[in-house]
Amino acid sequence: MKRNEKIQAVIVLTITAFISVTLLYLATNYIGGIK
Amino acid sequence: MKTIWNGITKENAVFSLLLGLCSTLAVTTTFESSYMMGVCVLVVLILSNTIISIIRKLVPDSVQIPTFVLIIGTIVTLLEIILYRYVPNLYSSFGIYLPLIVVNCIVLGRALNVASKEKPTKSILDAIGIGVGFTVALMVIGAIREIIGNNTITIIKSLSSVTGNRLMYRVFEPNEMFPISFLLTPAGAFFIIGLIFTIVQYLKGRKKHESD
Repeated sequence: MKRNEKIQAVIVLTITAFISVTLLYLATNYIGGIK
Repeated sequence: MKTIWNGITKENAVFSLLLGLCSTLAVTTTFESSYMMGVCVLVVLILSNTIISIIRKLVPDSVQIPTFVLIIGTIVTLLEIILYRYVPNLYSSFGIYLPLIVVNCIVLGRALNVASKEKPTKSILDAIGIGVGFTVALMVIGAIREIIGNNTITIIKSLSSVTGNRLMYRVFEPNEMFPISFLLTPAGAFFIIGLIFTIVQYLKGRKKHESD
C-alpha cells in the first residue's frame, strides 16, 4: 500500500466517522435517544 | 425498469439467493411486522446504496468494508431512533433484528458488489428492486404464517400510534385443524420458505426447459 493511499484511507475513515457521530448526536438531541 | 424487475424476480434475495434469512425467520410472525421490516430494509438499502455510490471513487479498496459499515450503521441507528420515538410498539416487536440490519448480507452485499462499482442511478434502481423483492417475500411468508398459524391477518396494529386506527381481521374461525401454531415458530418459517423456494426453483427450471 502506497503512502498516499494510506493517508487517503485515514482521511476518508475519519471524515465518515465524524459525519456519522454528528448526525447521530443531532438525531439524539432533536428526536430523542433510545433508553 | 429491467434492473428493478430482476431484483424482484430472478435475483429475489429470499427465494433465489437465500440471503437475509435471519430476520426473515424471526420477524415474519405477523403480516404487519413482515412488511414493516421489508420497508426498513428498503429504506436502508436505498440510502446506503446512494451514499456509497456517490463516494465510491474516494474510498480506497483497503478501507471499503469499515467505511460502508459505518455508513450503514449510521442509517440503521437513525432509523432505530425514529422508530423508537414514533412507533415504539413496532420497535419492541423487532427487538434485536432491527439493529442487525447493519450486518444483513443483502445490504452489505449490494454495497460491495453494486454500489461501490456502479453509478448512483443504477445503484438506486438496484436497491429499489432488491428492497421491493425482499419486502414482497417477507409479506408472502408473513401472510401465510399468520393466516395458518393464528387464523388472523394483522394489517395495522403497532402502527396505530401513527395511523390512529387498527386493521385486524379473523380469516376463519378456529377448528380442529387450524390454527397450526407450529408455523409461528422459526422452524415453521423455515418450512414455509423451503416450500416456496421449491416452487420457485421448479418454475425457473420449467421456464428454462421451455426456452431450450
